[in-house]
Amino acid sequence: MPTSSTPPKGSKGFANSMLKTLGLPAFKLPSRNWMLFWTVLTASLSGVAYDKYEQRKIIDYYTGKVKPLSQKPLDTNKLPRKITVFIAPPPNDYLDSSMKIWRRYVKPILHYSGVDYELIEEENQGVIRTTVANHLRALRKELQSSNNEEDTILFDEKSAQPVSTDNGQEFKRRFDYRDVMGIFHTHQKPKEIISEDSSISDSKLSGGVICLGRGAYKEYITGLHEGLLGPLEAPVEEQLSSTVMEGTALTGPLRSSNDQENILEADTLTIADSAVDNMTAEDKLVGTNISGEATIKEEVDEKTAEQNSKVLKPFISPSEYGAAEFPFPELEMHNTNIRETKNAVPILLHQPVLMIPTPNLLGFLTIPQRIIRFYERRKYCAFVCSQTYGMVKQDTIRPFADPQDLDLGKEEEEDWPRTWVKQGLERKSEWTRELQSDKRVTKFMYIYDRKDNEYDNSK
Amino acid sequence: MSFFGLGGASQPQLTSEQKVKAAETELDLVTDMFNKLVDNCHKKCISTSYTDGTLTTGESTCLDRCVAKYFETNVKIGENMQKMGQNFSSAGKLP
Repeated sequence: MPTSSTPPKGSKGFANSMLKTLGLPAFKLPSRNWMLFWTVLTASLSGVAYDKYEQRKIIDYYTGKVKPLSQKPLDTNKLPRKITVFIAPPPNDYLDSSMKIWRRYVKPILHYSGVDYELIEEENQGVIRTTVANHLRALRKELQSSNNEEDTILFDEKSAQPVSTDNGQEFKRRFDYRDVMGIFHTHQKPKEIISEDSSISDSKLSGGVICLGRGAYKEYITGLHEGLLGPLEAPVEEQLSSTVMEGTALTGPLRSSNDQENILEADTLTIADSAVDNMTAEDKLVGTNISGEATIKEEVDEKTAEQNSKVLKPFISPSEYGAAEFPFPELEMHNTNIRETKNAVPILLHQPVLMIPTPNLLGFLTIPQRIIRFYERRKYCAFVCSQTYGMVKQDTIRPFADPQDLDLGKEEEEDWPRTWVKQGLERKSEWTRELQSDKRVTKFMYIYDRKDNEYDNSK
Repeated sequence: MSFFGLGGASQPQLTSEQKVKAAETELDLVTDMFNKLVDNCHKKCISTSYTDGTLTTGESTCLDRCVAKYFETNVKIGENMQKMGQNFSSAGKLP
């Protein structure tokens, strides 16, 4: 009997002869099944651990590169550069998926660079477009009214000073606690707060826009066009058929919402009409509601009312872009830019755009692909971090190339669920439409376009 | 931020002496809040290694956010306190 196969004293089982040939002391290996189990377990866990470790290194690398930017001094009457971030959820999924990308990869870099940011999120289609368009329309109205108004101040003939007819209201309005608290005994009280963005001569270096997701990007572009080329007031429609958005969840995953019908500003409908519309909507909702309880109906009413104000029907459709007039003819003639009235920052049109695709696969049959993507997340992390870093550094800005740049991030659309896209095409929802642009608008736009990835190059 | 008009509007029967007292109390409150705000945000936002006398961009943004959050917290807690006070007073009135 060969001695190599006999187990050592005090142990049971069969000792592997290979171990002796390798020169290792003979110890008992677990059975084949256990070996399989431990191999699979350690391989999968170590893959996850390695991926997380690499992601951590990438994020630390980029935040480290960006930290010196936050060490620069800033005067007390100045506001830092402000970046606007538009976040949309992936189709048929929750906003949380996009927020994870924002929180893990984009936000640390923006935070450590000392740059200020403003977040505009949406749960349903159309909110971003409405926000952008409303903002631009409000700006146009203000600029129009400031051109038209004439300031009339009463003048006292004797003293040649403005006469105040109120009873100390002016004093109350002008009263500032800081004057009586004694804060400004060493420094001068700042006359006004100036934004850094407003004092840069080159408007493409001011601010910035991040669109997280193809849907957000599409809505941003359509919002820009709608706000600039569209009418200032909502077009008055005849009797709106309030078709029910049966598939659209008011909370929960983003479905392809039917925002064409059912949503319009309240003042364009008479009260009777709106009551009739609400009634029919309510009845239909109760009809399709599975539980049909009264409490659920009330909740749904509140939510539809809330939604109605956040998402408006587009004031202008893409086919009408060509016919509309561009509201700022001075932009064409001189090398100027339009600024916000509040803080003299160039409007969103002039601020360069960064588009970050958010790939998100859903489904059962795609599970193998999703597993592979899960183990390769560090590559996506490196991509997103380098793009955000490029935006913070502002060294790779180029003008918008009209037909090609509309397809920025188009690869994300391959991930969109086919049934969702089909539904969207039937309902003609925003995200499934082809993005159309007008050259008069896009010739003033810029893009952050960073090709190389410092982290990969530094290794 | 001027609360000066509020006291007079809600209770028109205040004498001028009472109005002056109300104004003084208000000023005290505001100064108190300001001092606490400066203290807290300084502890949280400004690093202790004083290599430079000017505020950096990161510290500035941190201070802006700190002040905004402080005021929001103040307002929210004030509202909650008001609700609490109403509950107590209504509970007291019930037999």
